[in-house]
This record gives sequence, C-alpha cells and structure tokens, in this order.
Amino acid sequence: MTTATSLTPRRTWSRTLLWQFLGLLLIVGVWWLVTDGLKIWPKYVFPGPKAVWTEFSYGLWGSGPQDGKLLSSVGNSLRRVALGYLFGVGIGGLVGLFMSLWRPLRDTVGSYLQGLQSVPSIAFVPFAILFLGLNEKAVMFVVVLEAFIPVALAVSGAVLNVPPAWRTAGRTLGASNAALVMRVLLPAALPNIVTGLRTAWSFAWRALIGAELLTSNPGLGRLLEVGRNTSNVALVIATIIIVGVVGGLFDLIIRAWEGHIRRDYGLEVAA
Amino acid sequence: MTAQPKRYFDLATADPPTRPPQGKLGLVTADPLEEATSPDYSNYGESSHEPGHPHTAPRGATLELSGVAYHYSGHSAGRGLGSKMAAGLGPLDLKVKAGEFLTVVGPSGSGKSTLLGVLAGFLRPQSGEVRLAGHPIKGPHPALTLVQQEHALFPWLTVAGNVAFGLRSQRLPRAARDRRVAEALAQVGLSDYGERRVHELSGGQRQRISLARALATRPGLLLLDEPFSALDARTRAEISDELLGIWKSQQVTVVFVTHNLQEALSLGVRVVALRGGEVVLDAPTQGLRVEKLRGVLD
Repeated sequence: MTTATSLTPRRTWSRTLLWQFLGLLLIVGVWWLVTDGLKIWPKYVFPGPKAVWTEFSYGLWGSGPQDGKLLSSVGNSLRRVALGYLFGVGIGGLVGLFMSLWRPLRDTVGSYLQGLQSVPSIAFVPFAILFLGLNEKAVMFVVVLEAFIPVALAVSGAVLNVPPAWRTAGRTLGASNAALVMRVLLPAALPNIVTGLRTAWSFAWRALIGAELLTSNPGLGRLLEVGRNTSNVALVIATIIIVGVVGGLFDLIIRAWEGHIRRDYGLEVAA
Repeated sequence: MTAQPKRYFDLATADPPTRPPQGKLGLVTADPLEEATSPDYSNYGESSHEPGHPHTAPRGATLELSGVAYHYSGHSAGRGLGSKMAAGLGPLDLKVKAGEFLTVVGPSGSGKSTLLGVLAGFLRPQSGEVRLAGHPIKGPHPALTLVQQEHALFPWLTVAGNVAFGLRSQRLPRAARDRRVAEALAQVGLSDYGERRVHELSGGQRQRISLARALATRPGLLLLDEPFSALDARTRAEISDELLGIWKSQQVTVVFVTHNLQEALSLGVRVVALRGGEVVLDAPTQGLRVEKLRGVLD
C-alpha cells in the first residue's frame, strides 16, 4: 500500500514530463520542417527555430551593446507584475471579504465587478493613458485592476459558499465574529480563493503585456513592439515564448499550491 | 478472531431495552436516572474550569425553557439551523435536569431542529426564555455545544487542531489545551489520531472526533442533532455506547435529537416527543415501548 502510493505519483510525474518533452520535440520539428527545411515562407516572414534561438541567446545572455534586452525586459515586466499583482490581490481580498460579509456592498460593487470582468484588459489601456499619462502608472493601473477583480469575486464567492455546518460549528465552539472569519470562513474558502489567485495571475500577466505594448514602457510588451517596428519576427517569436514560459511557470507554482491545499482538504486524492 | 465486547443494546436489533441504558457494560454500575437527579458538582471549579476561563459552565447544567416560542417568518424560513424544518415551535415549557440525558423525537417538520436551534442560541425565540444553569441564553454560548448530523469537522486542521478549536476560543494556555485534547481523544478511543487529516478518517471516526471536539470544551449542555444518522447500524451502536459511557463519566446534560424512536428509547433517560411544535409526550424511557411512542406521534 505504502509502496504503491509513494511510487505512483513519481511515475506519473516522470511520464508526464517525458510526454511533454516529446510533444515539444514534435512542435520544434514541424516548425523546423516548414521553415528551414521546406522554406515555405521567407525567413523575414516566418523564421525557423535557429533564428529564434539566436535572438534568445543574444537577448538573454549576450554581452554586446545591443544584447541582453530580453533579460532586462523580463526583469522589468516581472517587477511590474509582482507589484501590481500583490497590490491587486491585497485590495481584492479585502473588498471580496467585505462583499461576502455585507450584502449591500455585494449587491452594488459585486455586480459591477462581475460586469467589469468581462471587459478585456486592453480596453482599459486607453483610459489609463488618458487618465494617468503615458507612463508606468498607466500600466500598473491595468495590472492592479485585472488582479483585483477576479480575487475580489473569488473571495466573496468562496466565503459565501462555505458550508453552513462549518459556520455553525465555529459558532457553537465559541468563535467570535473575528475568529469566525479568520479561523473558519477564510480557511474554508481557501481552495476557491487560490483558484481565484490563479485566474488573477493569468489576467494580470496578460494585461501587463498588453499595456506595455501600448504604453512603450520597457518590458516584454515593448520588446514585441520593437520587434514589429524592426520587422524582427524572430525577436517577436522569442518574446512570445518568454511570455508564455514565465506566465506558465507562475501558473504552475500556484497550481502546485492549489493541488497541495486540495489534497490537504481531502477534495482530491494525491495524484 | 477476538471476542466483541458485549453491548447493552444493539440498534440493529428490533426490540429496544425496557429499562434506561447504562452505557458500556463494565463501566457503568449505577442507574443513570438516579445519577442524573443528583449530579456530582464536586469537581465544579476544578476540572471543569481552567484558571482564568470563566466561560465554562459547570458540568451537567440545568436547562429550562419557559414559554419559548419560535415561528418562522417568510423571510427567515429556509435560513440557518432548523431551516429544513420550517415548523414553528411552542410555546414550550421544558426542564432538563442537570446531568440528564433527554432524547427528543418527532417526525419531519415537528420542530426538533427548531428546538435545537433555539437551545444552541442560533434562533432567538420570539417569546419566552431559555436558561442554562440559571443564566439566560441569548446566543451561541461556550457552555453549550452542538454536534451536528453532517460532518462539520474542519478539513484544514488536523484532528487535534479540530478538537482544540473550542479551547482556543476559550483562550486556554497551550499546555492545558494539549491536555484537554489528549483527554478528549482518549475518551473516544482515538488517541493516536491527533495528527491525522479529517479526510483520512472513516464516517464513524469523524463523528467520534466531532463528539470529542464538543466534549473538550466541557460544556454544561451537549446538544446532538441526529449525530449518528449517516452511520451504519454497527458503528452507530458502538458510538452510542461510547456516548453513554462519556455521559456517565462526565455527567454532562445531553439533549439528543433523533427521528429514530428506538435510538431515542435506547439512549435517553427521558424522551420528549414533538409534533407540530408541541410536546405530545414527556416521559421516562423506562418501560416505554416504541409502539407507544409511534402511536403518540402518528
């Protein structure tokens, strides 16, 4: 029994990794075939893996005067998204909690947030530029907003959906209002809140790239714009890959945390 | 194969016992009814109380309901404890002696859960008063603890964390808390389960832990809302025996709500039958037959 439970997840994990690696090889192979192999498109329209790799190597660890831009852009974007995400999550968490505890706030702000969530983040950028100027603040505004909305809605929904039996148990065991929130409602809501944190991360990351693209603040979004202006498709593709990898890595970290919580809560068996 | 300990009653059997239960054989020798009428308060202020924690009521507190009535308005119907029973209650006069084990029976909609909601302080009666050990109950109170029919253990805490929950609310010092947790777990025979997660427990173990969690706070009144209804007959009988043993040793006043007439007669010293929010029978369980109880309720 012990052996089975300890070996199975590792085997599944390594098998998943193997399949993912094979999938990556297949994608790169097909990409190479249609570009460098069959030369269907000219290199300046759709470059092959080698040209993109060159952009990576110069952009990430090159030491020339025009090199290292990819690395510094990643740094700038990460700094911006980290600040905006944390701020948005903090405010969203508080607003969400108050929405769950106070119906008038839920019926007013909550309903509007629901509507706002359906607006694509890029639609806020022109407003942010006009309102705050073509600067860092405009980018941060959009990132904070995109992190704030899903977290506020997730916290509110998650707390409202806490089973009444847990509230009753907390009360009957002498929990005060504050203790009920801190020791029952929030822990009970945690699995759904973490799902909200994942959504918020994905929204904030996308919003950041979009806002950087339009505001020309140094970052990955701007690098996409630079690539477009200089017709450097290889740089554009390299940047897209970086955006995907960084976004995916953070999502993976939150997902691992989410899985850990769900297993602890008995919501799913260990994979 | 080891011999199973003999139980006083078995819920799987058809006939209820004709005299009040005495808990686990070998543990209880005195008649619980006699014991109930003269609760032992010698330990009041000692084991019931940790220094600096005045909220803990004396074990086996007297419960009195005088003219208690609760009727659901259109707004409150369907909300909170007792919501699935939209039946009103009372006006009701009821006295439960210190250390008494009272069972409350009644069909769906008879007001059982409403009564429990009122006793637990979750429903404020529109008229009348509930008093525990002479003090009016106006809301959830540490001196009375409710064990619910559904699993209400907190999955984000370990078993020990669950049992310690109420003790943390009482702001007990760590050492006293740990001691109480160990005692409560030992009472339900799950001493080695402190570090386990809730989802690692069986249904029976979960209800044992629910019981331990309620008992750890040393309530004056233990309210049980069909706590064993989701368990199989065998586990139910085992835990019922344990409950009786605990009741006997702790001398806690118990109000046990059930729709199972046989269980009501097997466990309780006294049974109250509700119908339409009114008491239609209030009698000692000794000598009372299921058929008579059923006849009253039909």
